[in-house]
Amino acid sequence: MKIGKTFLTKLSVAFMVIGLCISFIGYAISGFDTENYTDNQNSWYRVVRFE
Amino acid sequence: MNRIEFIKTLSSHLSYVMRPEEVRELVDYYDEMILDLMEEGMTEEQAVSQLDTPEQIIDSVKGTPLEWDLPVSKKFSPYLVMLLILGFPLWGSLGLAGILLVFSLYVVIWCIPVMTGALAFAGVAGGLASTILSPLALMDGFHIGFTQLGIGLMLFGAGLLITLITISISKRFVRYSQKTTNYFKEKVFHKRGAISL
Repeated sequence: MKIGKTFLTKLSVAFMVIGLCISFIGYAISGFDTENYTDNQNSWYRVVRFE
Repeated sequence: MNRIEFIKTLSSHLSYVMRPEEVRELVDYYDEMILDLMEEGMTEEQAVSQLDTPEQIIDSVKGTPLEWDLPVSKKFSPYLVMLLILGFPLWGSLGLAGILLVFSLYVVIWCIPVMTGALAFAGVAGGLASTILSPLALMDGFHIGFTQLGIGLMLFGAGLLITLITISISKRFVRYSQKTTNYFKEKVFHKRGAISL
């Protein structure tokens, strides 16, 4: 399979769309409430934080 | 007409009206233009059809003034040397200002690819870190791990896209820089002892 510019562009757009869907699902599981993210949010492995 | 045919026709016709190095420069210029258009998704034939025909290019080149090299005396008089030394505070500072002006031009030109490169690096590195560490975030809650995984994938995708954009525009900026350098080289070095008619 040829890995060209078009393929990489499509791949990056696919990553963004899939990522958006997964993060939406995650946010939906939290009940659309940012308070549910505040526990232990200063851990070194946490990227999603709500100050 | 494809790219090779266009280049061959152009160079063979131009060789009658221009010097070999000028022919090479012009042919390289048109070749780059065709490659640029092909990069944008056109076929060879479409890219060539966007340009002027070789005959039109030759007609436009025919009106270009030629340069004649005239001998210039290379004797240095002691007065001239003294004047150069005494005038150094003036021409030295002006020269330095000129050099810094050219340097700042390059800095401005390269600001955009450097900025997109930084964004690309941040996107890819942040996305990878976020995705790889998302299983650990699952320990804090299913929703946290999921959100982190999603944001990581999104960041990685954005970083990849910006990397592609950076590579694409960097090629153009390298060409702009080369053209600018050639322009200044031409202005500073080649015009000495030559008179345009």
